[in-house]
Amino acid sequence: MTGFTVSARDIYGVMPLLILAGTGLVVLLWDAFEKVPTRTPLFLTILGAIAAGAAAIINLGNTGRIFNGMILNDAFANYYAVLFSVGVVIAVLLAERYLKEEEVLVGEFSGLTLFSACGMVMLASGNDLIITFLGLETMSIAFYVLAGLFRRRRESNEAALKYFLLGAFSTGFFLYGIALMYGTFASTNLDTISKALENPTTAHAALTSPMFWMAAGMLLVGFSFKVAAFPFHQWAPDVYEGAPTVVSGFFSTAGKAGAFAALILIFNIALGPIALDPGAFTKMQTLLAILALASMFYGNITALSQMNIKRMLAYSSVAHAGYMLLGAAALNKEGSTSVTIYLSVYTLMQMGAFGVVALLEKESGRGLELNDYAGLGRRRPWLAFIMSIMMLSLTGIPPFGGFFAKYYVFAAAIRSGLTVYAVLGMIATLISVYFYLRVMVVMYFREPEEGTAGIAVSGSGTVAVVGGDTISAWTALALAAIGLLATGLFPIILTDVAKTFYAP
Amino acid sequence: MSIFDILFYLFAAAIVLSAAFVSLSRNIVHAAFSLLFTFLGIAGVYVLLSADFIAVSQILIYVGGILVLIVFGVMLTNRVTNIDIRAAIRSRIPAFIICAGLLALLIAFITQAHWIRYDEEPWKKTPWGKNAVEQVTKPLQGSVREVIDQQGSQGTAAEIGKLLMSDYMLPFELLSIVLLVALIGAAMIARQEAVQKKRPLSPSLPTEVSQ
Amino acid sequence: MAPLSHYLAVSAILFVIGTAGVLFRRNAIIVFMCVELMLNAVNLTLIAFSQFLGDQTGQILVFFVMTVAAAEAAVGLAIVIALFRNRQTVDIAKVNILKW
Repeated sequence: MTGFTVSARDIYGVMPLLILAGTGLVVLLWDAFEKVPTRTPLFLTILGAIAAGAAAIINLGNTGRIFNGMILNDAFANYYAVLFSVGVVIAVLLAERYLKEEEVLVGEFSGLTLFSACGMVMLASGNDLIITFLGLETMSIAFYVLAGLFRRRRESNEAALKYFLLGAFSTGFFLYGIALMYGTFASTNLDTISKALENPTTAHAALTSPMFWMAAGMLLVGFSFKVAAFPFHQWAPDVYEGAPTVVSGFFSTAGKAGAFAALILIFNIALGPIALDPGAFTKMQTLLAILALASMFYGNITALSQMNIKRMLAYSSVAHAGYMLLGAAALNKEGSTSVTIYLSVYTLMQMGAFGVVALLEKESGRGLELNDYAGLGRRRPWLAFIMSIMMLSLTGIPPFGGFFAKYYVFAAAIRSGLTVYAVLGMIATLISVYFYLRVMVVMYFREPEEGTAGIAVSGSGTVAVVGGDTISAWTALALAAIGLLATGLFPIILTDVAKTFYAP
Repeated sequence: MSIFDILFYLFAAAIVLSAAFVSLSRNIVHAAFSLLFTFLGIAGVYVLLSADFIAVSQILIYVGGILVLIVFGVMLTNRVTNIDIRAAIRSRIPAFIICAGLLALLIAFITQAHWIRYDEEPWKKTPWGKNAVEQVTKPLQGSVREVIDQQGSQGTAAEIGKLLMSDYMLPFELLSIVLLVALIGAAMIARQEAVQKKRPLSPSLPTEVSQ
Repeated sequence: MAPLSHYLAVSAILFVIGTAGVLFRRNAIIVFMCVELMLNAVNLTLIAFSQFLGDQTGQILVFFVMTVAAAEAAVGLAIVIALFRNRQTVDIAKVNILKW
């Protein structure tokens, strides 16, 4: 095995990662040497993210295992690289005006965003638990800093501290999982683990040992923290509330996508051969499905009572992690495809919702209560319209992408024998209708109360015009809304993606 | 019982006791010092497991780096205000249940033979089990001198270096990204505000926001 | 040489001590120390496996864990200092949004 040397093919294979990291460096340096803040870092970031996405698409012609089996450069990895790039572009576009208001340099934000995207690319292409670990850490460390980006805001500091402590805590569990996997299979390479599970002798040794289950459980605990699934979600509402709104949006979409990509690579692909042992297969499925159901119900029920919009979105993101876990619980390729589709749509809708919240947020975090949205439908009809699209899509109502995303996830679960769980999941979805539609009801049918700081009335007032400063934000919102409509009206886009995914 | 076994149990006792002190101590400085003994004890166990390079790294990174950083953190946050940062122990039933459950689970697994004995069924049939059996049956008893003669190795540093530059080259390079992010992030978040302040930073901000 | 199970037992106990510390304590720096205990427990497990399996991967992994832990420590203490500058406390029970 030793004596590996790098070839050009290896370098091309990690091109998206290199471009993201390089752009991050350039943006940070530009920021450091710039006397008067300009928009250049913003453009550089977008350019870099687009270049990374393009490199990922070009990469599709160059698939295979590279760097001595460390990286699996396939359709899956490159699809996610494109998804992360889209996430970065939307986040940066949304952030511009928002950051200016808080006097944070765009370069700092976009540099860290790019580096965290680097970590996500590692997660989605890692074919070795070492790469997965490094990706998770790159992403998380960048996130800790992003959460505390508003240095002068106490809530932001506290969110960063809490995220950091719980993130490091969960890293401990994740690493223990890796260590026990290593003890079970004598390797951290996912291919080796997969092969060992295909071989009856070694599979028997592994699957009958508590060590394997302990390892799987610990890895799952680690992932549950990162995707904010039920018993380990406690950090999410507080961190999403305290962190800058745009950053929260990025955590809950791209960050979740990164962690789910790695979860799928480990549980659905590497541990896929577990299906050869029906007993173990059912055990693993039940483990994931119960976690999924708990997240769905807990997230949706708690969201019912939230009056702060960011907390509501945080609990809704817990529920969405549940839907995706149910897709992953199918433990087959169909399941992993359905989760990928869900993540693509979810990134657009959640990011869009957080974007609207960021546009409406006022200095030092005011204007975040549900009541502040009263009368929005009259004062700022376009913004209310966009928010309605996001809410309807998050609920899963047909003309938007959210419907098909849910459909594929539940279909995958039912086809792999998780019918009961899927039915319960649909009931959980019904609960969510209430609090998503409540936002719309407040926007369109409730008048702002006198004396409250309704966003629509006070302050800078009734700016229904798209101001020069918010052009970038509007571009991002339009991008998300059009994406949702497109995937909702032409779900063939999604199914095509699914088909090309596992093409030989 | 060879001298190595005795040393191992001594180190193990030191590790567990000092770690328990870290997590129970009411005084943060005592906790930090106790952590030093945990780190050193673990380095000792690494030596017994013939992981010399890792043992040295443990001392350099954990003791020389992380612990010093922690002590700095304690000093910086302690001196400035002289507030009492002695920590009280929260009485929290759920936390207790989680810990007890975890401990029970781990102990149960440790005591089950299949978890750990590579020389027993069904592990010994696996390729790595066979390898492990050879590893374990390799005699490693006698005086220190005898063991050194038996091993006759140059230590693990050379081999780890080779692996890092060949098979594990990519993770090694990616590690530089992690370090870069941490470096930039730490500087970014801890630096004094360079931008002109819009409003004065008041320590008397209302502390109780909605619970 | 002591059997593998003893090494694993020590590291499991260390891991639980760390977990307990994180869950029970409320001083951010002590919580962080307890996280370090957990990571050390993991490292011990890895080295034990590495030695008993006669495979170097475990040692490489430990090397990575250590480096990442150092990076994490730097960021963590930066956050603690930033918070302290604004709040003058590191007691996470007084950090009011923290109510896990």
